[in-house]
Amino acid sequence: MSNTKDFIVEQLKTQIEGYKSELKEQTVGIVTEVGDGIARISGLADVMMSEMLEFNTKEGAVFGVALNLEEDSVGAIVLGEFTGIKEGDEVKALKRILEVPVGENMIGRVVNPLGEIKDTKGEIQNDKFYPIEKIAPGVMTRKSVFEPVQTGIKAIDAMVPIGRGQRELIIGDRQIGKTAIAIDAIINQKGQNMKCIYVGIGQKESKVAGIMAKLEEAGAMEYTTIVLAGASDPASLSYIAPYTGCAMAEYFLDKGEDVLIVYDDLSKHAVAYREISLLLRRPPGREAYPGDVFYLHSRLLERSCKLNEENGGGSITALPVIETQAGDVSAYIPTNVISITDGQIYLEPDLFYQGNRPAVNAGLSVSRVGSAAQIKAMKKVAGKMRLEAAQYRELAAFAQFGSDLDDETTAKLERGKRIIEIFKQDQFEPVAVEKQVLIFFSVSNSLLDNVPVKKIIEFEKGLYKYADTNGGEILKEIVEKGELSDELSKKITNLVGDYKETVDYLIK
Amino acid sequence: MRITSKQYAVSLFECVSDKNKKETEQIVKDFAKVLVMNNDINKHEAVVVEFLKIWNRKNKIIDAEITSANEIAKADIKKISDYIKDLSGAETVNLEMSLDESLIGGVIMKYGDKILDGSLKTRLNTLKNKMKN
Repeated sequence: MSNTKDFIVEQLKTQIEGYKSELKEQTVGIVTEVGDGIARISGLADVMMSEMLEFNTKEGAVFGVALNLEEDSVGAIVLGEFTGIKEGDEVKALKRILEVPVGENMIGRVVNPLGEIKDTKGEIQNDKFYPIEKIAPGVMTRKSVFEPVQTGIKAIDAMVPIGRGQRELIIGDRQIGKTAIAIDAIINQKGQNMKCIYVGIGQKESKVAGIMAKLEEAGAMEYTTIVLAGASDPASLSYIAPYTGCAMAEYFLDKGEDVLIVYDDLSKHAVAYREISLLLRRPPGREAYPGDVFYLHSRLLERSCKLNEENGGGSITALPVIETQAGDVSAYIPTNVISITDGQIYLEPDLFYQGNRPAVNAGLSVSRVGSAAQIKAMKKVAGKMRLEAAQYRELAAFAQFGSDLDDETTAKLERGKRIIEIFKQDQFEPVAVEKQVLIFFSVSNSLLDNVPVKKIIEFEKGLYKYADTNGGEILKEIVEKGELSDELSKKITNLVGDYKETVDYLIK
Repeated sequence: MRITSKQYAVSLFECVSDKNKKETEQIVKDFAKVLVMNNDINKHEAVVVEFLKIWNRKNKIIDAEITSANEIAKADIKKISDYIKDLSGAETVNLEMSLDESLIGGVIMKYGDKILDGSLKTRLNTLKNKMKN
């Protein structure tokens, strides 16, 4: 007993001895105007741009960020509850840019854009803080994209492949499966050495709760962090949310790890920024967005990168999401983000309602760098498929008018139908890359021509099962070698042939 | 065009600087007339505030507020005001004293838009936070 007592006293003594009091000069200002999450402050003479501020209110301290430095006042956004702030309250400048806690302990958690917990899993112990705004890595520290991100979605991995360090936009109307693609991609990162961050911007809390439940069910929360600015949170939180997510990703990047980050969605982010800008009386431009709305997204997405070996070799792959209004991709924000990213996955309502889900439009979806990151086997089998799928759509529309078609056209149509059928995929059912190669190999080598179109899905599932039990070696070889040698091609052809013997619905 | 109270104050200051008392009286009278003419007479209080700010800046005068737990000795007040002169580069310091027993000890100096918190209360609080972590 006495030992512990002595220990405590000893500890206390050293603590107090080690404590050096220092007198720091602080800059203060006075709130002159407050409302709608915006405060105007007089004083604060030497405050920095986007410096953190502390409002001393009767109900405790509230944080803010200085955004407008004017001749005789400072405009600031309030992060959190602004109703407690009164005119005349004292504001302290904290002499540092807004920082958020980062680290391993963030994994598996749901936090708000300030890094405060939103789930019920207890406190997060963090000793590291990263600034939310950081200049993106420069040219000399980067490397071109070469490793694939396997999304597990056949249509994407074949037609619009994504590489580690790429920024691929997911764009489409509401309720068309944009988030579903992002979530599927996160789920498929299990065992792929990826950390994932899902940033919900202005999302319904119920939707995010659903996403979290799904990720937990799939075991994906073990490597995923959710940053959420809910629909009821002030615009200031929505505004900083993607930067917070990116700061958390940069922690892993600095450790040389690969990160996948989903910004869901950047249209709401732009809207939140527009709200803040208009309240700060910045002049509105096109669609009432402020003049720097392009910079808003470009500086965020530019932070996604693939670093070279000297800089750790980590990467941040970004999947920003943009919601269009009635398929209008030529609106202001969609065109901006399309021009920033390295390609887009365009989801089309017509395809969606025809039952082609995910409704990826083969013609308008592109990946500007990802094909360099496909494994060789995939490159070989999927190369032609995008073209064939795009051609099929045109041909099908044309073929509706005539009944007499020449053999070549009929063959193309039949092939197209089967490709479209293969691209259909249920949600939360990612397909491993070796199985994708297997099925794509089958269709592009005419092995599926005598399988009826209606039975393709059934055939595909059966083939996967058959390959698991009888062709484990072959699947392993595809993954390990990554290349399709003649010998391996023969083996695959035989495997598919063997499976075909077991089914009874083939066209004779 | 709307004229802000700051602009009024600046022009008034420019007019009255290096004028004698009699001239100043006339200038102020004319200035009031201009205010009435521009329908800005209700701004006069804001103009006075701005004018004092400019006057203090030009003449290197600074307002300071000292909060302490106990009465401060005359010699110490002199030291404090010299210290503030040192920090701010002002030549004259208008000191305002106030007492706050909750500080326990030490002083809080406020001058311009700067604060120097040397109170025992704050120090104990920082020590508490440090020991908590």
